[in-house]
Amino acid sequence: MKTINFFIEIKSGQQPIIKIANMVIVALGQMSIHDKVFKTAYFLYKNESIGFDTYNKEKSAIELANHILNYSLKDINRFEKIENPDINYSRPYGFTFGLQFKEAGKKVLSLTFKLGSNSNNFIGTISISKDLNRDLNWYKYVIDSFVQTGNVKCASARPNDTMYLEQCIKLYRFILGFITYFSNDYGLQIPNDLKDIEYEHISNGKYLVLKREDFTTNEEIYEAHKQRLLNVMEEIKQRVPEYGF
Amino acid sequence: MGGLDKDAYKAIDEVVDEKTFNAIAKTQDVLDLSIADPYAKLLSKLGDVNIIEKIAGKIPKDKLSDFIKDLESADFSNLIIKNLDMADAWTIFKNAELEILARNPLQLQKFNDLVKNNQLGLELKGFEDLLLAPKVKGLRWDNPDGVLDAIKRASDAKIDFLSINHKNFPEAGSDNFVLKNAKQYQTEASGDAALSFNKGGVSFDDVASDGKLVDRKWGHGKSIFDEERGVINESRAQSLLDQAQRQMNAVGGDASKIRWEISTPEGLAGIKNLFLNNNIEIEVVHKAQMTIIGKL
Repeated sequence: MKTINFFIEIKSGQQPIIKIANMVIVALGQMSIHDKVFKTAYFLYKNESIGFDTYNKEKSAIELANHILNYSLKDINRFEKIENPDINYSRPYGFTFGLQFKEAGKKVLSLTFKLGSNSNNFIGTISISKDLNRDLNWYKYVIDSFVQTGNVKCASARPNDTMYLEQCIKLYRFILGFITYFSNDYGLQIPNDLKDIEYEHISNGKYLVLKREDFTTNEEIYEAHKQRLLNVMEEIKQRVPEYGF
Repeated sequence: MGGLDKDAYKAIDEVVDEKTFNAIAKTQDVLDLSIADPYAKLLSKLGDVNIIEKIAGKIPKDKLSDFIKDLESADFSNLIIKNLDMADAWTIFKNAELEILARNPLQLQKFNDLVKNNQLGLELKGFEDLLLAPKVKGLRWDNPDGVLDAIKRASDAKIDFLSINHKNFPEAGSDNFVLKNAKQYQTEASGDAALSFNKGGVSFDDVASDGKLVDRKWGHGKSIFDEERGVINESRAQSLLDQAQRQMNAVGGDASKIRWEISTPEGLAGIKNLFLNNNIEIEVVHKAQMTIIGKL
């Protein structure tokens, strides 16, 4: 079975830790309504992970903020020479951290976050277990939960395939997935009539959907869809040259 | 010649001829000599009181006997006579207990060239501090001859605000296969595993001949990734991403200035996939370890 990974680009801007935590908790709280796997998040420390509830908005945000602060403390002391920062602290480079989610005691999803910086903020994937059986709508729902916070620039649920990613990263500004989101202020005008693409327009932007049904168990179909994605990206590049390098 | 006592004169008289004795007498007027004998020997080796005057200011008195001994080598004495600055190099090597370098004309020349011309903003004192750094901590450079080459590479790379320091590499116990080989892997890159190339507060393991800042990772295979490049140790994967981000911050976001070298194909595949999934464009390559230490 092939896996699909998330990559969600977040709008840039230096943000204090508590604001970052608020945004993440709002999205996780939304996600936990539909999937209980998101009700508890485990903050990834060097040698352990510490669980906390995600559905008590204010309390959860403060808890996450304190985890981010603790995790970054040594780094802040070393680089910014600030001895006692609190959760209102911000810095140009932002903060990196990881969250894990478990199902029946097994770790099934780990996401990495780089947020609150002046440039290049994103939510990426460390791992998605094959034990996490979810259809493509679930991926869209996760992306949409972050989109609803108003902070997403673009996002995709894309093949976890080294060769595909390696090929695309050199050619295109943003790698398309089976489900891709572009916000209205993405910066490039992504065409609304790309071949093989189904569109869903929302107030903040638009979704480009290649396929909704699950095909990850069929390698042949998976490869064919991957090729279709490459074709779509090439078409965008032809029509919007700035999309390419 | 008021500074010399009777015994010192006697000692000089025994080892030098009249011309040399007179030269020593002249030197004595210039230098605050309390022990005449070593200087007499020095003069007999170098044959010029003016040279002695200059060298006397560079060689500490407690190192004088060693210096005279090393002058037995024609290569060394010729080098010193030709370029008195070599005495500074010799003294610093000696102070740092880098005997091998102090006796090697090529290393002395290399040191002198680097002091005169380097892009790291290092002056004589800076070189001295770097070479003495392990001694201050009660440690030693494992491969001192590699240290100067590393400084040269770093200088040639012309990287703004790059500095070189000594780092404490975790000491490998006699049976610690992992630490020993991790250290060996770093040594094969920079020349000495304790070398740290610092940019923006972040430490790198080497500066390659192509000018890239290099981070070396030993292993990083099955302990973090499964056979299909999937992550099995998420905390360590997050640490790798943190480290990559810190390095990117240190070079102003330009990933093309950094390269990660991984000792295992499994580690390469896993880290490459992890980076691609998180839009980290640092180059990741496989560099096999040349010499494996011990058995697992």
